[in-house]
Amino acid sequence: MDELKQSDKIILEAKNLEAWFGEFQAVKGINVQYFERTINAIIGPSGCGKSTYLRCLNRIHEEIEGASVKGEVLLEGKNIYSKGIDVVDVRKRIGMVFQKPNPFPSLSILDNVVIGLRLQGITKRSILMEVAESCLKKAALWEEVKDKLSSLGTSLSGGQQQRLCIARALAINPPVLLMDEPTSALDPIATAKIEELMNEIKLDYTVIIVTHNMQQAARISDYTSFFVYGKMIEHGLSSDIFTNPREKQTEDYISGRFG
Amino acid sequence: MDISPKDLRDHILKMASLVEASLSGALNLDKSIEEIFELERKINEFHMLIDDACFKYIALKGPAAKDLRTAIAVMKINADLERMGDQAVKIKRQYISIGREILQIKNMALEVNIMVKNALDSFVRSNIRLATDVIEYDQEINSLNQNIVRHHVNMIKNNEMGFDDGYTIIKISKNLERIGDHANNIAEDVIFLESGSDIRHNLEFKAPKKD
Amino acid sequence: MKVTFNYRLVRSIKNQLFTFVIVLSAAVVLIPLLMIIQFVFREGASSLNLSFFTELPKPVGELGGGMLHAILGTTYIVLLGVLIAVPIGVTCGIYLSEFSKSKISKTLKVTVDLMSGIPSIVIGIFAYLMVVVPLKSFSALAGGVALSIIMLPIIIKTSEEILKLVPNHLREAGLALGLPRWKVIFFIILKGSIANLLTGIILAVSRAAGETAPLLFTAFGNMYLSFNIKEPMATLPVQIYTYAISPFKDWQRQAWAGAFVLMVLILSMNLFARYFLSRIKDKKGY
Repeated sequence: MDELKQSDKIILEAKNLEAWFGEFQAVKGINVQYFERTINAIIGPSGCGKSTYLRCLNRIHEEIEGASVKGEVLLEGKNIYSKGIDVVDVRKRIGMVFQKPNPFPSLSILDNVVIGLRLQGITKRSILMEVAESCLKKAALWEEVKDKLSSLGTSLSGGQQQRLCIARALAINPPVLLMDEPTSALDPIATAKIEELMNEIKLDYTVIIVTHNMQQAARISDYTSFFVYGKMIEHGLSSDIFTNPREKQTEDYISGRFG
Repeated sequence: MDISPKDLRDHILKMASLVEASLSGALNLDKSIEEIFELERKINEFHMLIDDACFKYIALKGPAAKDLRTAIAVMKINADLERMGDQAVKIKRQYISIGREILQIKNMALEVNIMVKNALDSFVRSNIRLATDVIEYDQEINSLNQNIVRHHVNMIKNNEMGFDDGYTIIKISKNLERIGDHANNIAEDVIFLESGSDIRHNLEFKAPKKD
Repeated sequence: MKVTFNYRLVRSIKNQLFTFVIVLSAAVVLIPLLMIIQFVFREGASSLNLSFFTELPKPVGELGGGMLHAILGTTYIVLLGVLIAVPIGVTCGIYLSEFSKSKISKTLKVTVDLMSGIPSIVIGIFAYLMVVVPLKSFSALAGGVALSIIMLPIIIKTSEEILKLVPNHLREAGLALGLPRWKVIFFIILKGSIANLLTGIILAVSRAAGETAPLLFTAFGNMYLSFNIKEPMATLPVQIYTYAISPFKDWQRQAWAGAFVLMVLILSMNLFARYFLSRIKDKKGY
């Protein structure tokens, strides 16, 4: 009954991953493996390096002035931090959805979804329309916007905007999708809609989601990691972590006794 | 993790059909004890699986209201079904040692079977009325048991039957009565599930919410 | 109770006094502007007629004629300045906002500040040395260069400020799509700031269009209509100056008219940029 719909293939792996802001170490020596087509949640108290760690996985962390990374991240076996790897290529394969919905303000809904493709040189309208429809459907937004694809992306409600951002990230077809607290700025109904569509997304993509909401992690994820002060205390099947964690710290956090 | 209340119900139903097969096989001299053991093995597997599923469902999904009651009721019904399975094994052993059909036992077994069926039906169809009928019927089963015990005690006293056989028949009757008790428990759990009321030590309960 | 009553009264008087002082300050600023507008209007509007806008100057002594050549000349030279200053200015603005911590940025910022402090006549002399002397002639090109130098600091500063206003997570969203930085800047960030950038450019233009001193050494002036970039060209400010210091009453009258037209042009560009464009910006997003 516990057959999670996943292959046993490891798609992403962190090895001794560290992240620094100048002299301050925010993430300490992370070692973890992620399986293909699973949803992996990262939980833990605020400000303890969860988002920083996530941003190392698609090399966005280093865009901050003074920030640096040590260690390796292997995407399908290849280290994305090797010399000679093009950062831009890495980000085409590891997408990201941010906490605050951020559709591009001057672009229409349609343009928002396809801009990633268009700026890569794919301009054939039929292809773009096909991708847009498919991604908007996966993001559970198609029905709501199919008749107003040319209106501005920012004319949508907060929850819709976030689904638009999800569609935008899916459009470039990254095998891995990172989500940094995607529902923390949304109301409960919008949150529920996004949790629902995660089950659809899981069929084709691997998701790693940072969430401050433990119940959300329990509801939607296959695997959960528990982070405290930049260290990964525990990682395992969600059904184990939430019923019988190995570490006392994890248990205390989950029972609400600390954090 | 994708467990839903429907999954939990489906598991119970599968387990229940195994238990019913085990019960009918117990009083059928044509069925071997190995067959009952095989059923018992499967029943025990379900017993662990269902408890684990309910546990994980509650931990991960944080259900509320009817969904929560369903998970809890399923766990309790699970326990009763498992005990029924145990009783079936005991009865099989005992019946084999008798080696022949006993009419009164057969009749009582028929009544118990109907009671079990109705209890499970009330679960499937979410029917409180049927569940209440089962609870009331428990009295009948108890009377039947008392009759068989009295009758066979007399037969032993009057040397119309050997002590071993007589005592074994009394034990079978007792076990059948226990099965009736478990069916009774299941009916009570169904009422809890449907109406949120715990009627176990009295008969008053709230009217159920309309679905 | 008597004490609290007095305290409230004192506070109310203080409030009113302060409000009065603020209103007075505003008036001190507004009144000269209104006076100038009304004065120029009075003197200049009466001399406005169709021929002012459509005719070239008549030979000395003859009445009538217009400033068509100067109006077109201003347009031509200002456009030239824009063509030079906008690409350079916006690019510098992008650099300053995207790489604000580098040594080059720090040097650039200082340079820009110094540039905006240079007197416009000195800019004119610089353009004279750089363009007029090598070409051995006054020219519209020199005028364009001079105006572009005046516009450059304004455009760089506004571009930098506008781009800095773009929230960083928008940039990150673009980068996260696997786009190189330059594409994110040009196709996403800039595209969303167009209204603001245009505002900045128009404000720069309205500042440069009224400059007289630098044009004296560069475009110099011309009584005839010319579209030749290598030849001197008439511009409104210079034409106004030439007519104003002349002894001819008719020319003086036309100078007032020119002043009025120039003022209206610059004021309306300003108002257009500040109000009309900002409404478009509101509709489009941030």
